[in-house]
Amino acid sequence: MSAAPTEQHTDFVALARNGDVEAFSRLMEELQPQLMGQALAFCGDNQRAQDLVQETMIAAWKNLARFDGSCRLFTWLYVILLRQHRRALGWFARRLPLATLEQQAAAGRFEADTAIDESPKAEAAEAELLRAMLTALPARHREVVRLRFYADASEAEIAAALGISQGTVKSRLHNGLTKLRRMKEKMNQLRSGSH
Amino acid sequence: MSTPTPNENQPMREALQRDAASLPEPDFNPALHYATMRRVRGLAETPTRRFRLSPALATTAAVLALAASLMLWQMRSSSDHEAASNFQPGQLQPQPTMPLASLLTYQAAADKGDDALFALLDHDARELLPTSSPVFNAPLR
Repeated sequence: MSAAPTEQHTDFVALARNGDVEAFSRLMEELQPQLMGQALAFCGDNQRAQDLVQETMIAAWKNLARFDGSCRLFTWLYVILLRQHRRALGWFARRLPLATLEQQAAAGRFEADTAIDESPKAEAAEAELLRAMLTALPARHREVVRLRFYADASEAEIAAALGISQGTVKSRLHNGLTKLRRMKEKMNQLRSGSH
Repeated sequence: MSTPTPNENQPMREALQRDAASLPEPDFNPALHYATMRRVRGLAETPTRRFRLSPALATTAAVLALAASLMLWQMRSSSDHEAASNFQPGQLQPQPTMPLASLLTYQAAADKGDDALFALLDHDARELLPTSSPVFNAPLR
C-alpha cells in the first residue's frame, strides 16, 4: 500500500533536502501513483486529483527542509495531501453535517440491500457510505483515521508527522472509530426504516 | 456512559482497511510528473537565496533602525540632562504674568490720572490678594 523506506530512498531524501532536484524527481516518480490513488479517493475527479498531487509535490519541495525522517516520506506527503485538499476546498472543507448524511441515507442514496450484501453494487454502496461518513468526522479525527488506515501509518509515525503525542493519536483514533461506528449504526437504522 | 472496548470498533477498522485496499493505484503519469518537475525546477532556479535572504535583510534593517532610534533618543535625553544640570536657580527669569492688554489698561489709567490708576490697582489687588491682606487696611491713597 505504501512505500517501505529503503536505503536508496533515504539517500535520495538526503540529496533532495540539499537541493538536488533530480533526487526529488526520483522520489516523486516512485510515490506519484500512490498519491494519485489517494487523491482520486478524495476528489473523485482525475483532473482535480492531478492538481492536488502537483500542489502536494510543490509544497513538499518547498518544505523539504522540515522533513526530519521521523516518519516515512509517504506519510509526510500524505499529511500535505490532506491539508492541500482541505485548503483547496476552502469553506467546503468543513465537515459534512451528519444531518445531511442521515437525510441521504433516509432517501436511500446509500442503499445496500442486505440480501445481496456480497454483490459489487452493495460493496460500492458501503464504500461510498464509509467515505461519506469519514467526511462527517471532525477534521482532527478524520486526519488520524485516514493516516492510520489509508496511508498505513503507525501511531508513532502519525504522531511524528502531525507533531502531536502518541497518546493524542490513540485517543483521536479511538474517538474517530467510535464516531464512525455510531454513524454506521444510525445509517443502518435509517436505511432499514426507508425500506 | 460506558467506554466502548477496542473490539467494538473492530468491524469499523476492518471496513476501513478493506476500503483502503480497494483503492485503485493508477499507473505512473509521465505528463503529470513532467509538469510538476518543471515547476519544481522553476522554483529551484529562482533564487531561493533571495527568499532566504529577505528575512535576514529585514532583520538587519530592523536592528539598524532600532540602533538609530536608540542613538537619537540617547542624544536627546543627554542634551536634556545637560540643560537640566546646567540650570542655576538665579538664572530663572520671572515670567511676565501680566498680559499685554493689562499693561495697556494700566497705561491708559495712568494717562487719566492717579485716581484712575489707584482704582485699577486696588481693583486688581482685590482680585489677587485675600481680603484679609493688610494692604486693604492701609490703602495706597
